[in-house]
Amino acid sequence: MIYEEDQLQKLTKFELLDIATELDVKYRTRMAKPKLVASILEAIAEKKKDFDPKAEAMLGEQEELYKTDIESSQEREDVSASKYTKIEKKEAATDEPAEYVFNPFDTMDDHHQIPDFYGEDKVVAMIVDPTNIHIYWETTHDTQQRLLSEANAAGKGFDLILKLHDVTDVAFNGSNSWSEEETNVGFAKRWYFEVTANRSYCAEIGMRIHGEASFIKIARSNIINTPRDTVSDFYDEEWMMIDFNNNKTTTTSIYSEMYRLSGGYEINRYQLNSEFITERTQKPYSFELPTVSLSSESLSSQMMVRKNKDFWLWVDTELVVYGQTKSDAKELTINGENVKLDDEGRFRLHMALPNGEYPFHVKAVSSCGDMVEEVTPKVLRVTELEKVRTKG
Amino acid sequence: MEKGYLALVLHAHLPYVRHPEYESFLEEDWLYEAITETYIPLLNMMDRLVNDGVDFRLTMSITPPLASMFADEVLQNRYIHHIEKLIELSDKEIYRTRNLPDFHETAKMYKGVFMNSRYVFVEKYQKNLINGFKRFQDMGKLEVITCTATHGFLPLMENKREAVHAQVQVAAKDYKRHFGRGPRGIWLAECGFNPGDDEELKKAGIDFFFTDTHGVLHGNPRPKYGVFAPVYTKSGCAAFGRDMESSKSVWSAEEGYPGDARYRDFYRDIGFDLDMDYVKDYIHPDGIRKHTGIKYHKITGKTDTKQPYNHFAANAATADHAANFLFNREKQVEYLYDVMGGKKPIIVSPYDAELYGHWWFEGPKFLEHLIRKTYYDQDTVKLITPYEYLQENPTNQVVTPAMSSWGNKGYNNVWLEDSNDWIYPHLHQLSDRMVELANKFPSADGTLRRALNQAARELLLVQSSDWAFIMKTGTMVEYANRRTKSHITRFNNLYEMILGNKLDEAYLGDIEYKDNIFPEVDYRVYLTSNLDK
Repeated sequence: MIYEEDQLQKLTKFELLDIATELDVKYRTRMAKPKLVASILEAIAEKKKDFDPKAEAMLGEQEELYKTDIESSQEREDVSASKYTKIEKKEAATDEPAEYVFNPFDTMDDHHQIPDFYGEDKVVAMIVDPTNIHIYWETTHDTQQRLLSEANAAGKGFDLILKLHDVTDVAFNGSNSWSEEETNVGFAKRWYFEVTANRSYCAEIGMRIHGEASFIKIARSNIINTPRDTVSDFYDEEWMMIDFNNNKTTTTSIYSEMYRLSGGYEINRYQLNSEFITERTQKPYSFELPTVSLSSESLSSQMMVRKNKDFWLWVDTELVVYGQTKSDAKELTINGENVKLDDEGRFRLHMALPNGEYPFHVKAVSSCGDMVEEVTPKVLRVTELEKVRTKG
Repeated sequence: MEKGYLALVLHAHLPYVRHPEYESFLEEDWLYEAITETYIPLLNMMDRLVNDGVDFRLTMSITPPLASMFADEVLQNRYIHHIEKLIELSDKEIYRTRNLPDFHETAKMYKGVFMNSRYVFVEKYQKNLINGFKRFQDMGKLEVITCTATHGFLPLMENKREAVHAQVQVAAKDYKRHFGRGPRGIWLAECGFNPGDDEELKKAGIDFFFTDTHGVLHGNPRPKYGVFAPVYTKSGCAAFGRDMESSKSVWSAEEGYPGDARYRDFYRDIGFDLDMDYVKDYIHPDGIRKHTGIKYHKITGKTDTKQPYNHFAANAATADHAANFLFNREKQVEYLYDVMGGKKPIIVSPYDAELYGHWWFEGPKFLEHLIRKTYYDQDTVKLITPYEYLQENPTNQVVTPAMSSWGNKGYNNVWLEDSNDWIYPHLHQLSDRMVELANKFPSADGTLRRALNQAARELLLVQSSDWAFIMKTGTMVEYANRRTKSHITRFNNLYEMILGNKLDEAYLGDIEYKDNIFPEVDYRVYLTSNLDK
């Protein structure tokens, strides 16, 4: 995140505010755009004082090198494979064909069939790489029938549906994901999905009864975090010293000897933004997070317009409510829910923004309780659905 | 005074392949070839360096399956048989080539290599090569590190923490059995790392591990020195990132040193080239042609007409290449030393050990030249082990490395794709079941205990990343499929028997004999309560 002035000028005020929040620029909400840009540059300069441009350039070079190296990683795989190879010949060296038809396991005593299913209801998510994940599942007839009869739908037909939720920084409860993608999986047992790097995902397998809108969940997966695929934007340096020269007897003793040294400046001067978000959104809030469903348009958070397999579009909106009060304030509430402040009295709330009107009644009470400030921003999201057009 | 360090890291690994139930088994050759072509040449190299007073540092992972195979009597005796057959064949070759001057010298060289291998294996290290590696470790020249217990690929095990815990704990315990102390470092199989795995390493007393370049480079927060200094994870384990520049010059078959025309060609082998009648005693008894290890041609170039190999010319090439490698490292260290403001960088160059000797026949000679030149010819770069670097540089940045591996494309793509994704529902189910069994019988005795331990062995064996790798790369796929299915079946049979309280001792005895890895394994390593400790 090395921003130059001309890059910053091109950003919207909202985007600048986001950066300013990360950099902890004071009074940022009251600034006009030019002042905001200046303050951001100042804050970056302050941070970079500790950072050596040469070291930065080296990181850039390594990242470049990595990008080219990863292209050629197939070569390493070929070399590694050679240690298992007996027969493979790259070039026909003789007229005689390689004779390799023998299979010692034809005579092996215990090559039994392995089971197709284990009789469980489960769905498991696995990471392939930053932008691809793999999901497999298994559901039992018994559970399907039990859930159907509980829904008074015994005997009705249904589709097996896989929902993939983006649950980055939320404590997922089935309905508060940023977005979700639905797939009718038919008789498949596993599937690959394209996703976004550095996000968290959770899958649900369930049923949708023919002709009905509701989704009956059978199982929910583990949560996976896709890896970051670039150099991190967080500069915070924290240093640790471990005394390897002292003969250690147990791992706990070395752990207790571990202490932190600052890299020449304060630790934790700048709180990680992502932590900040996580902390805030793990709590339930009084305003309702919508049940997101692709089939009911009016409630839809995510708009997905599909025309054919090769082209598609989805659009979603998210909302950040943030601010700052005196750090010793007694309490700060949003719609009646307590929100924790950080050491400097800041708060920040990041959430999905589905269609609808959402008031945020923000109330701050001073340390001795004698002063109260209240502000209520109101947010309205409407989506006008454009018709899908195809040429020809 | 040196301005930086080079850490050469060799990852020695082969999957556990041992079939006492067959007289001759093709895949066991993986081990025998690597012994003759890689492991003994490396031990001989260290021997010569020590004798000549050349101080050096080398880091080597010897994976638990490989260590178990080194220590296994069945395989030891089979290797002796294997090398004696090769000595016999090389005698015949010397006779056959008596009027072929282009090949005769090479035939004599092979006989020398095989005779020496037999001597080193039997006389010098009493059939167990661990004795050799331990010797150089005890001298302080070599740091032997461990690996996940069966080369299990951790990023695809994450949904069952106990499975990760067991892969690390079993490895650390097995290391102690062979080397008399705990491992200081670990090579995570395929460099597969997922944030949080470091906590399991720390619990096993392990101080450092390696990631691929982007593991450290994409770590959070941004690593100040990139991969040229280790970082500490929050749990206090040090992570060293792979340097790409030094790595490429050896790994790359096309641009790298091993592709030089003077080096020996890997593919041309008399096991394929000569008359069936002549080679039939030295290939598989069923008449399947295979590599014998006797190869007479050099790479020559991109041509089908390979020219005769000349090992004198090839040795000269290794000296040139070692000089070039060292020159590049000196330049790299000087640059980094400056960039890092006077802090000494560490360049971590990891390779598959089997690349040296097996794939690149002259590789061990290259390494020896490199080590000698580093010692005698310059002062900029010094060899070091990661542990020594940490002793000298105990203060490091705290960074959480990113999920990564050193496989093709850098993540889990190799081990999770169309050819091998079918194994994971089974692997995960087996892990779940193993944990269930351990929790249900936390203090079993007698036959039940044996059955539980064997179940743990079957699970560990099926978790070898080799099977998924082989399925993907498409060589010997049938073997990988069968191994996977047979461990799954054996595990599930044990599971049913244990829960049904009807243990079949004869069956148990049979699979204990076949899958005998980790004699000291304790199934309680899968107890969920271990995770809180």
